[in-house]
Amino acid sequence: MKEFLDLATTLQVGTNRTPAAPSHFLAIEETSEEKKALVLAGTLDLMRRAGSEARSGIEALAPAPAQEERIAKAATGPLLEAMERGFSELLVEWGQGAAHFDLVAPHSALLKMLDQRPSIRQALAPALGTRGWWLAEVMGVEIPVEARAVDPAPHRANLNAEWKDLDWKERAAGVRLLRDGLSLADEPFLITAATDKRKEVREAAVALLVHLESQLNREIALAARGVLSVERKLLSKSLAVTPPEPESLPKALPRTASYNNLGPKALALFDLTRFTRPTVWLTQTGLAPDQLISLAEKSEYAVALVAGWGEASERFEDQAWADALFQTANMTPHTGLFGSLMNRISEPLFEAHMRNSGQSEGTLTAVLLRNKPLSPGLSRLAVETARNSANYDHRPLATMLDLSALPLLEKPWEGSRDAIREHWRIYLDLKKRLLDTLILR
Amino acid sequence: MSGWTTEQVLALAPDASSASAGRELSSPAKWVSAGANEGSVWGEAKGSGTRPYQTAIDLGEPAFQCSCPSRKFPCKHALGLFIRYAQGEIRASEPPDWVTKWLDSRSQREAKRAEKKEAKPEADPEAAAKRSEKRWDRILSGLEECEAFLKDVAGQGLLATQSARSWDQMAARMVDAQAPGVARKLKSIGAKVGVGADWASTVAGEMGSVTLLIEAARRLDRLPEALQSDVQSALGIPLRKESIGGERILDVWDVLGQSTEIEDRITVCRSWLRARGAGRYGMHLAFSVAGQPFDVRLAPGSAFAAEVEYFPSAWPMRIHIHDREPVPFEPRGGADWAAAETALANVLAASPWTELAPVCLRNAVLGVENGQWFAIDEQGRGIAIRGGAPWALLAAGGNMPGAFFGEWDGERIRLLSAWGSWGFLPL
Repeated sequence: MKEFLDLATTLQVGTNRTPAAPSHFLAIEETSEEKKALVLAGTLDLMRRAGSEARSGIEALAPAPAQEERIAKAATGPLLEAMERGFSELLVEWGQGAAHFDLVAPHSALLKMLDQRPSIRQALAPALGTRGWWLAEVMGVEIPVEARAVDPAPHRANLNAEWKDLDWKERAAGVRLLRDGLSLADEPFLITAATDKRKEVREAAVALLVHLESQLNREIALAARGVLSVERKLLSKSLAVTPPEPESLPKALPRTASYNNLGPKALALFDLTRFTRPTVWLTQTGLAPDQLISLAEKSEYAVALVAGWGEASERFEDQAWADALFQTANMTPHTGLFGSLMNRISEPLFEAHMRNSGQSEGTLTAVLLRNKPLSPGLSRLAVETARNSANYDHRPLATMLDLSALPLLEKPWEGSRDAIREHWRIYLDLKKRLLDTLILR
Repeated sequence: MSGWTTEQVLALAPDASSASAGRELSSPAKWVSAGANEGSVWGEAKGSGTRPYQTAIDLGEPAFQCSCPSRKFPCKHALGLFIRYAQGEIRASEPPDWVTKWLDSRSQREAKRAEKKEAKPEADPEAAAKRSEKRWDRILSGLEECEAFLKDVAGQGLLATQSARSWDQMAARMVDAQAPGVARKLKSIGAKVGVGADWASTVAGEMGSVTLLIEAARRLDRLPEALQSDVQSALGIPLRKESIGGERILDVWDVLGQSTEIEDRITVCRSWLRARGAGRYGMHLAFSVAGQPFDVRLAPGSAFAAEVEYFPSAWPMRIHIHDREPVPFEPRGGADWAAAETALANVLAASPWTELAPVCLRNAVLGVENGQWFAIDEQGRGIAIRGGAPWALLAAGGNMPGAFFGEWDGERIRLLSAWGSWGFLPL
């Protein structure tokens, strides 16, 4: 309304300097210019508000695509609470569970989920669903996604293109990402990476190559031939070890400069063993893992073999081999072998070991090192042990406990800090409620 | 069916941490016992001591009682228990003695209050009239000062008076003159001078509006009675419940939206309702001083059968609610912008100092241009939205067409709720 805008300008400047709009517009019985202007302003403003015009031509936002996924409707409350309390491990766990059950988050939780830090957003990405992804796009929220998991070829191409510009940490990390969707198509690139000047990059590349039916794997198998053989005597057996010549090992195989004062041949044997799938030795000797390890312990190459097998059991995720090593091998010469086996050995073996060790903080440390969900029995053991460790911060254990351990927390803690006890109760109660939303649907 | 949802219960929480604690306490494991009947809910919550806390809810108000030491109202135990009730987890049973005693004492207090009200001796009408006249003289005197101030500003120009201090000082003078409504308007104007692109138009209009209000106050006895009430209300003269006396409507009322504002230490809660049968809107005002509980708290997304009484006005909107009985919520209403605009124009024509009016657009969607969000009606007309981006609405509805309800301030709409295929969403 032009008259109103003109009047507003007049009032900015002041009627002392410029008169108000002509009084023929409205019959105002006022003597002063100021009053005339004010009354006119009030009247025009009223007319302006009463005749408020809407805008035309505003484009409506495109609606969200139809949602086909099943929604975990009951999860709103527990999810919001987990986000408010900052229990990010529970969020990640729920996200994985939702993906497993083909469920997505309820709409009422989406805003908060998109407000989480990038690593949590990434973990929750499978549970966003069509609505969540649409909302993220509308809001301009980035969801970090493992590009490799989505489409391997572009990631490989990008890595190839950028290789020269990456520092060694980025190169190693980029190679490790190739594990998702690993295929023979990655072999040429990995072979190149296996010749990198940095040992960390070479090891990362070889660690993947040995999982493929690759040329390197064939060369390793060839090098392993004849290294171990069983000599059968009348009442006993012994293991004959013929370590490979260092120069006969595949060129791409990463080499260790020194380990436990081993000589060159023993080091070569160690390097070959740690990249050879353990089942190769079982085929070669016809022995079960524990038999082979017992014999190896008596040979002059025991340290090289046990250390190599320890690393191989981790690399090839061979639980049976890890169990056999744990029960049979002498850990004393090996630093870190015990800790790495903690992550690999089977649950019954781990639990038996824990019970035999007694309730000590060492038990709790081993559980923490293992960093895996605990069985009901082990959960109860862990809680009992933690109860006797008044000053130990048990909160990291909460992520691993089985729900059956929850009632144990209801009992008073002797000497424990109330805050820790309360934290556990809240955490596990929320964990149970979150998991229920996946199952009880 | 409890008639309550978890969201409605959580809306009663005094703050976010209470809501969070209430959610945690809605786990059955936290309660030793719980029960409910038609009018009340009760339970015993595990506390840190040996004795559980006793919590009870009178569903009529609702009103809350808990033996815990918390000063928050309702406390986390009451919220947790109420959530359990809303989720249908509490079985019907006979109330224990401590619940019956509490409910009885509430009834007795209500009865005494009613008796006291009836027995109140008639104030001396002559003395009351003299006091009223004296107060009115004080107000008029204050308004004269205010008009002189506005004329001074108009003469010198707004650009010459950019300091908010002078506006605040005149506002304080209006408080002394017992015209707090004018005080609030002056403070608001002072805060807008020089702020934003269109400040000059906004300030000019508001200054003009105050001037017209002062003029109306001078001619009060010549105005129709209903408009007199509006002028007094705009000046900030409080209306007493005893003098309501407006139209009464018995109907089922859906609570469509709610907004709260803090003015000094007073929190004002404005609830908008719509009569399902009559199709009329009503607005309920509740006040809370310094964080104390509201006398009446209505939850958006709830409904009740009740007789309401309108306060006198040229455009009756504010209501007083008599006894309520909860019923299931069924939001209705909505029109395109053309129809809404006509209705709003009629409101302003009848009651020029109306600051907020209810608006309900049907089949509306959202759009955005240069960072300004719009509610777009079914004819494609966009009405600017006040406040931040409506992400919650987009998350719930995916921008499918729905009914948008909000408060219209003459330029923009503040969205208070929306409903559609996704259900009802308070905003």
